[in-house]
Amino acid sequence: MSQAHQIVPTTDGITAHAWNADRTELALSPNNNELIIFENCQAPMSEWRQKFKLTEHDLTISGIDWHPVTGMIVTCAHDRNAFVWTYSDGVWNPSLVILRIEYAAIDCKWSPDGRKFAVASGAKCVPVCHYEEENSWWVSKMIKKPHKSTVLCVAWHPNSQLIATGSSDFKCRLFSAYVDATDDSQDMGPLTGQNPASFAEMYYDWSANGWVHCVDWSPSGNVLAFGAHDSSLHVVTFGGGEPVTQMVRFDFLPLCTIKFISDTSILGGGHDCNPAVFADSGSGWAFSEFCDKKPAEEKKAEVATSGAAAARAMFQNKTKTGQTQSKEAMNDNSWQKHQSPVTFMQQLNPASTCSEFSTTALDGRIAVWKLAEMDLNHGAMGL
Amino acid sequence: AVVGYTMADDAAVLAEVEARKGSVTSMVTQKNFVGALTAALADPEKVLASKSANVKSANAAVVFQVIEAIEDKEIDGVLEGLDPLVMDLLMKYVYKGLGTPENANSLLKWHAKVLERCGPGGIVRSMTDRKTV
Repeated sequence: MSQAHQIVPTTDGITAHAWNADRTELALSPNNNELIIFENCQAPMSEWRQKFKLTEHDLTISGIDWHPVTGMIVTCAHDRNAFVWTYSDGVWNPSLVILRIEYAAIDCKWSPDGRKFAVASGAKCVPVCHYEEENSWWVSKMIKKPHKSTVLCVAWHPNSQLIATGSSDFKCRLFSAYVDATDDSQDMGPLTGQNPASFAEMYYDWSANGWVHCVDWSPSGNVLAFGAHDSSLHVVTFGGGEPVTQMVRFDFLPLCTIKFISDTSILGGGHDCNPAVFADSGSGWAFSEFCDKKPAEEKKAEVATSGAAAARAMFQNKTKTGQTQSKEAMNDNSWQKHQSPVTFMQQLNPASTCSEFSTTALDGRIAVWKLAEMDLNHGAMGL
Repeated sequence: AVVGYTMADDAAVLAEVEARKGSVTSMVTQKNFVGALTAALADPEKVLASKSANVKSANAAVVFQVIEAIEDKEIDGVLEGLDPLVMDLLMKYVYKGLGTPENANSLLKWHAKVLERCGPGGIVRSMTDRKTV
């Protein structure tokens, strides 16, 4: 059963969350400088226990990522720093990373091979950090040009050498993140056949009509999607020649976070507080349906027809004069799992196709969704 | 999208708008409202790219001429089958029209009808688009 849990008070809200490799522990930040780690997460949600409260950061933590293989957590915050946390002897040890940015960090992501991580920052650049053994510390290299404004999100290609960024200058860009020191040979991924570019060189850029809030790669690495603030989802398919872009305009409010379920379906969470499914039917991408469905209306009570009961019903109905049924239904969102915009989404199952995912929002709730048990058109999603 | 639009192009676009006004007026008199609205909203790129308030208000006048001619009960019929991109453009004009006190009553009805079809996403697009009508 998909369910939601008020894990921190509604007045706090959750900025980011991440799971460990076997989903028994959850790291999140309640919209402040604390990194909280819960354990016992394989049990029902009410039995999750808070194990650690780590307060190395000075300002609000904006991004958390937990690598499934190395087990390290990277966090970044508005205090322009990032910490890499390693667990040993029952304690989490922070290691400060000097990002060399003058403005806040917005988001951070481990590369799939766990050897690098990238930070989206308000300094119009993306520090890509790798570990230098000789000095035992993390070194940052910058991807700067041609970002004209804050970088809002980053996404690593499965080969850990290409990185896509979304910025508030209305563009999504694709860069080379090939670092000589850590990577073996340059793998061009979906761009095979083109000239390899060196670190921080841009391959492509795509425009939208609003801030690019979220970007994600498909499990195969052949499709890139980004969501912008003009209520659109752009899907770029790499197929050998020039990449093909499709823009999906949808009827509801903009997306804040997206995740590919499979190569032909995407989940989007946004200001409608309800994860939305987009699917590629073979003839193009389109919005499919929302995940959270309103439970069936309860049967209306029997209408009384005799004597006193009918008279009472008549007077009770008079109290409802002027209220229309549709207005109430439209404004009543209490059946939804989230009551405020969904800002963060993570895949729970370790396979490349997503079957379970979790969402957090600024209402302080975390919801876990199991796709197989949900009332969705699974065939269209490629599951 | 129009590349390299300059102020010198404004005069040519104004002439286009005049021509459009002519064909739209004749369609309105013949009560061909679907044709009139489609024609009024056709080829918006140059008007969107222009920075001249004269060009924009001239084109807006053509669009509002059609909107004023259509009775409230006929709005549904006119909007049926309208292209989604044209619907977004129409929403921009509705908001432009709501910025002045004339026709507020019928424009609010238009807003509700267009909203049924394009949803809050259409409103978001009309507000975030840098190219204004």
